[in-house]
Amino acid sequence: MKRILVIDDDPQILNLLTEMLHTDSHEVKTVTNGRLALRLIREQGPWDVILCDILMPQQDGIETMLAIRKLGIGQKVVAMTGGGRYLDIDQIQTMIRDFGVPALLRKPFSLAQLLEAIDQVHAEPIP
Amino acid sequence: MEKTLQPPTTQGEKRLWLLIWGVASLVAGSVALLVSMTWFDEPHDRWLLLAACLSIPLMAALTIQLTMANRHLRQSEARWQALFNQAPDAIFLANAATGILIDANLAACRLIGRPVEQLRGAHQRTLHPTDADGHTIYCGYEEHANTRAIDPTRLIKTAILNQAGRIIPVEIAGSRMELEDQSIVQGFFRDISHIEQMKQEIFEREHAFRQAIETTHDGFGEVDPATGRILDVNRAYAVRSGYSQEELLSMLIADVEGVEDAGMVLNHIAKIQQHGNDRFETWHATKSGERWPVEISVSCSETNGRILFFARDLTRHKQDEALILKEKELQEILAGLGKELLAFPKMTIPSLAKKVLAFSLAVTRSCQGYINEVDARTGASCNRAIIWDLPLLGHMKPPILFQQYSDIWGWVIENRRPLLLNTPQHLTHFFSLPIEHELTLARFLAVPVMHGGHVVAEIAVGNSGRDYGPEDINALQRIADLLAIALDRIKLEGQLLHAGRMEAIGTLSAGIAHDFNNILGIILGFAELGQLKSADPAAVAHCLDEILLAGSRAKGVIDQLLTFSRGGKSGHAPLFLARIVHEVTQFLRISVPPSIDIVTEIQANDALIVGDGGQIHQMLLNLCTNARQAIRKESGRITLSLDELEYHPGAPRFKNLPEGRYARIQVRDTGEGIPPERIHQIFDPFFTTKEVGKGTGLGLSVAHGIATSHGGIILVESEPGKGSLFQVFLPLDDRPERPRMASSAPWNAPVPGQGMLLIVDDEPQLLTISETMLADLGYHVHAVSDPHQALSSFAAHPDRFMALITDFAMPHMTGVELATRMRAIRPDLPVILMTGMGSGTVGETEHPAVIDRVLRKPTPIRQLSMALHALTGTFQEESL
Repeated sequence: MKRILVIDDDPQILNLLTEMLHTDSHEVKTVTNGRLALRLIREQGPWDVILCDILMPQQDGIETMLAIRKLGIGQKVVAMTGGGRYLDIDQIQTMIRDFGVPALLRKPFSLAQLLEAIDQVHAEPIP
Repeated sequence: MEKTLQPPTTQGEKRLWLLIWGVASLVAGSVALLVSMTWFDEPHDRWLLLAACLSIPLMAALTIQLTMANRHLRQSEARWQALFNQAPDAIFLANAATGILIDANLAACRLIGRPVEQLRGAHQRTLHPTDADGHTIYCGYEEHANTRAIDPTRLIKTAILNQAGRIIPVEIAGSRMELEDQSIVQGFFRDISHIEQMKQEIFEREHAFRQAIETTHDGFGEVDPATGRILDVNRAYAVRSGYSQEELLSMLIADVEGVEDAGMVLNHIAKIQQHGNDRFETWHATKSGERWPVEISVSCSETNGRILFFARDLTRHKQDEALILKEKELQEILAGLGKELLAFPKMTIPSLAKKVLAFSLAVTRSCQGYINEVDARTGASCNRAIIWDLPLLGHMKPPILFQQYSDIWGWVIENRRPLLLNTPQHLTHFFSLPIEHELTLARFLAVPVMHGGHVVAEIAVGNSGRDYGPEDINALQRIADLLAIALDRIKLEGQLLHAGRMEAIGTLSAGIAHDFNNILGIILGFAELGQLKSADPAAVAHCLDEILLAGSRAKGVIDQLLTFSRGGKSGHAPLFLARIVHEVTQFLRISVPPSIDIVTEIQANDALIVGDGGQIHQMLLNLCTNARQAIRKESGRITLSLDELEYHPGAPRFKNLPEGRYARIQVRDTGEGIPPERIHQIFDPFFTTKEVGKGTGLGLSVAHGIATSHGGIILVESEPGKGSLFQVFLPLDDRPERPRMASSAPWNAPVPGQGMLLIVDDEPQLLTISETMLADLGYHVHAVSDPHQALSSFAAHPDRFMALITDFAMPHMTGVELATRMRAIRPDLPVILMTGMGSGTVGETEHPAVIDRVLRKPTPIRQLSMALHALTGTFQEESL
């Protein structure tokens, strides 16, 4: 069981991810934007894994991930994206790898892909 | 004191002395005489003595008197001599009998240049020059002198030859006098050379003046102000008027005046006398009665009061004026046509051709005509507009394709130059179409419409009531030029619109892909979860709910895309701008990064215009795409607002806009703004600040074109670094009967309702979805998959059902058939027909009377609920 924080602006996706993660008995907390996520991290410390959407209003996923990295608490993050809206996938991948987010989930993804990505990130040494 | 005797000095003293001496000598003489008389005794001697004594003073007195007379005579002679010599005229005296000069005065000597001594004794003939034969030019002095005795005023004019050889003109007054027994003639010679010179000058001037008068093309004449009689007239006037100069001199000015009668002419003359001059245009009449326009410049002579006039023939001028007027008229017509072609929104080639043909007929005053457009590839021509009285063509509407040309048909297309025929043509065919009766063309004129060196069309007119001339070719060719430009414009606009649309679709497809990935993620995810939880029906139902919701979201995206791409086909219709603004906002939200805020401020929820929905959609989207691209940072804001305003003519900012009420859509961004030097370029096609490959630069140009074609404008304001504001003004639809919109309904929320609905669909899945959705809204739903079963349920309780919702394509019975049967039972039953796309027989707009609404599948629940409310009278439906 892992404590997982999900950041996505789409409530239906939050629903979906919650239910998907529940199937693997994870403890899930969802927030709809990056600011709320940062506040939670500051208040409650790091999560086992954070699932973060890249394109969000108010605070972008990339900004959020940068901010999380700047906290310097070795937070593990899995990024998610629906693909090229204003950047193509390769650019996103390169960008997030640069600040230590190795895993990028491309929507749509299956339950297995999700759980595998979480396990994989969680197993990696703390950056 | 000693006083000495002084000699007399003054005249009085002298006279006093004389008197004293006179009296003294008289006394002394008398005394001496008396004394002497006493000496003589004889009385005879005494008398002698007295006589002798008395004769002495008598002699003295006589001598004195003689001396006095002589003195007077000398004085007189001196005076006369002075007069003679100082007279300004030359005076010669000659013996009348011999002609020998006796005397001459100083002036005479000066005039002739010889001293008086040489003159005396010379013959008077020598004073005058001789002619070639040596004869003296003038010798009649004597005769002259004689006649002068009778007529003292008579002068003769001749000339003298002076010593220097100069011939001097003189005027001679002469007279004859008898002196003692001699007859003398005297001549007074006056040098008149300066007068002659003046006369010569006057003559020369007058001659020059006359020559000028006779040289000028303008008519000239003099008129007696009192009678109006022509006193002088030049040749030019005579030639133009057809009269001879002699004839004119016996006429009154009123006789040649073509407008004013004699009385009016005299009045006019009086007025001219009053003002001194005048200039006016009138008509004069020639001898043959022809009237000619003339400009009269007239003045009153200062010396003799005569009326002098110059008459300029304005015939040519009037002709030129008429030509200029005609040309101006043509230009106005062409300008009008050009303006109409530009202003006409959504001009299609047939409507353009029709308009141009109407103008061509009017300008050439023709009854018939046609415009054919030439296909660039095949060279065949396609009739775009025709007004030709042919029974054959009566039932054929353009376009008619003409593949072959023969005779005059298509001649200009093949020969690329105008064809003008003023001779009747008898033809048995019209282009490649044989005609029943022979076609007679009285006159025919056709011009090619050239563009880029190719014939793109032809304009032909025929059967004018008069011959066609070069001016008709000119007019028609200029119309053809306009047509060429307009045709090109229509084609370019089409290309531009298409290119712009493609670009926008390209820009947005990435965003759509992203959204679809999200939605697919949800659908696949919940489907997977549903499989996992298949044992738990409640969980499965939940998953399915989520899947359905996601599916409807996907449909929303597709709807947006369809709305956008249908632009090319739709026509002008009433449009609620709020809806389009909303749709564009929705579209933007899924296509721009969420970090860019999209804000809508709709103040005019029911702003209605007439326009092309697809185009307006595209225009807004282009403006928003531009706004999006202006925001180079990853965050920013795009604000769309909609309001209505009344345009007052005084408002300076939109001076090109006609008065009226407008809807204003504003698109404001917080982007980088537009530099002032570029702001005028932004609507140019292909103007872009983006890197190569990032955009074609057509977006704003297309947006501008769309606004203009809807009778509106786009204004732009920008502050570099702060952002830009694009304002679109579109004329509001002011028609009193306007569709109403459900302004209070939230955009995507279905409206709850109640009552029993009958739903018929042969596909159980869709039936279930509809049933569930409608039940959610509060309806009681009777769902049936078999039309026959539905019919029997309905027949059992016709009034139980509030409305019928039926699928169209069903086995055994179509939705329309079912509706017809039910309507037979209950005519007021509201019927909604659901149809899949492409089912063919029932379109969205045309449907049988038994169907109240046709909805396309899959139908959003909101749309269905709105239709239901509208049909059952529980809610005002928004117009679609």
